[in-house]
Amino acid sequence: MDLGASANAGVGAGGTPPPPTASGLSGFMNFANFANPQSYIDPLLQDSNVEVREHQFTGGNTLDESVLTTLHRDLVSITDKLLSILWPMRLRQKLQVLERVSGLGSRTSGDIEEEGDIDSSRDYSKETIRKILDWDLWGPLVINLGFSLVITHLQTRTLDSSEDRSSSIFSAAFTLIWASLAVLSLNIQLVWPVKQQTESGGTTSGVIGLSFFQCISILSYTLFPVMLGGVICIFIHLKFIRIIINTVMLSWSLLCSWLILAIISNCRIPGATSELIYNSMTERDQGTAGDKRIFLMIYPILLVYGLFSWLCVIL
Amino acid sequence: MSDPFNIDNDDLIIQSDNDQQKSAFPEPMQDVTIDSSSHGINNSIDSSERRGHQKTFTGGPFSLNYYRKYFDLNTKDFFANCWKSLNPFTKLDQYEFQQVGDLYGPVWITATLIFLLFFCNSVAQIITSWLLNKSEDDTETLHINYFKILLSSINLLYGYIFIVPLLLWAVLRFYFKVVNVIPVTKLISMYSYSNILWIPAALLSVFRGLLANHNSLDAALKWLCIVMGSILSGAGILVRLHQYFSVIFGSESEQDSKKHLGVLMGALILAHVGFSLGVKMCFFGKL
Repeated sequence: MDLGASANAGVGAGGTPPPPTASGLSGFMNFANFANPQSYIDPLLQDSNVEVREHQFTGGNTLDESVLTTLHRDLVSITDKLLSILWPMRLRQKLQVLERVSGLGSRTSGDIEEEGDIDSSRDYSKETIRKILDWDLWGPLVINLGFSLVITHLQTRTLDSSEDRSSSIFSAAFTLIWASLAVLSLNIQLVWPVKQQTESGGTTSGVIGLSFFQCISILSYTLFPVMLGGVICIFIHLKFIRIIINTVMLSWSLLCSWLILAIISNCRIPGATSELIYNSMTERDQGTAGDKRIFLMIYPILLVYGLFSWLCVIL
Repeated sequence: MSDPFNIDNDDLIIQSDNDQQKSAFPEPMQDVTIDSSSHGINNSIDSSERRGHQKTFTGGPFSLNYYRKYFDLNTKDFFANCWKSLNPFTKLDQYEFQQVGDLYGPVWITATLIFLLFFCNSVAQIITSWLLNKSEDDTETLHINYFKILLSSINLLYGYIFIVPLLLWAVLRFYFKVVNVIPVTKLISMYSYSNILWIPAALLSVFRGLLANHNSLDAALKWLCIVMGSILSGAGILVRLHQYFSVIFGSESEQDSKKHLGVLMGALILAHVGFSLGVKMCFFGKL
């Protein structure tokens, strides 16, 4: 990676010397290159919206395979995502590995990793990122429908049963859920610190961008615990217990979405200015640009999911 | 005396030390260019390099990147903005009237308001039903259609936040023909940050649940919440707009400026009162 080496030299010239684990630095470079090789090599000609190549399936011709294979593949990916939601500790572990690879988090100065160790953890992180970015719309469909059913059931139970308004309530709930998911995804896309061009023709550093459908897919999978809370609320009538259960589910959802966003915000693209002055050291110490804005992204998710949980409680 | 908003000749803008303002990009319709320091990711770059590091958000108005400039703020910036607007009587600095406002505040502070008002009033309802020991299937609670409340409140609040500043901006620009008019987004964000002051009023209304048996006290608390919220947020908006208007109309004759000022402020106060009544009808029950 020639460009990586020259940028490395640029760091040295920038004032603060690079750390002794120079291999860690170039490892991070390679990692970012994987995420978006094109834009790193040619930042000036890149489109304003950073594009990540999304590979649904990089194998052979999918038309010729049997239906079972297709279903199996989709099911595996869905279960994998659901499992990572259901067991968020796995996500946290991946986040820690990632932070180690990209040089953030707690690193003691004498901690020199072996080459093999870095390579394997880098591959592991690549796998993680690739799985997260692999979006599908099964999640939004199933969870949206399920949650609208839950809300309709809860609301029609408490309303006057002389007029049958269940279908209008169902459509209202469905629309509300997907509209708020869309708004949340737009919010993430807008606040996400994607790299921009500066006036002098270089680019600032940034994080790889998420596309709209990736956001929707991620958000709907994290809505799953809230839906579970709603299902439980159908069977429990005591408001006090409902409140406790829904609070637990809400914090579970928020923890998962925070972990996923933190994982992705570790895929940084270093900025390139025309003088190749590149402050990776100070940036690293302050946390990534994505980390500075994670609260701005999580807070709306808190509001919307809180609203849904609250609806489940009071209906 | 030079127009303070004509910043073309000013290379020097005196900024406070812990200033976190974003680089000011004027709207495409204006010609004012302001050299201010960039922020955020490039915080670590020293001042000699700052000139070249302002972000341009490439892409036309149909690309998403064009709108990112309205959302370009870190968590710290957001909290700093909120903190500044908590006191309704602080005056804004002159340069702030030319910045491109941020749209994150309007969207999500209004959402917070909707959520809190909804939440607090339903909590009050629940407490009432607990205190009076009504059963779950009582006819009182049956007819509350929470969806209608939610949808109508969304319409009302977002409509007020976006339409009134838009109208004000249009009047300023096309009727009064103000030259360096404040950007629309800045107006919108001023309105929304002032609405933070509704939050204490909303939290107070939880206590209405405890007053289930005393109808007059309940009504008194209701009106107290509305009036308090309305006055605080209205004061925030009006003080800042008054400051802005007095600068704009400062160059006109005494009589004219008083007349214009009076008309504009009156219209805004009316709008705000209407908005408060709308909030009351939505969340606190009919008039």
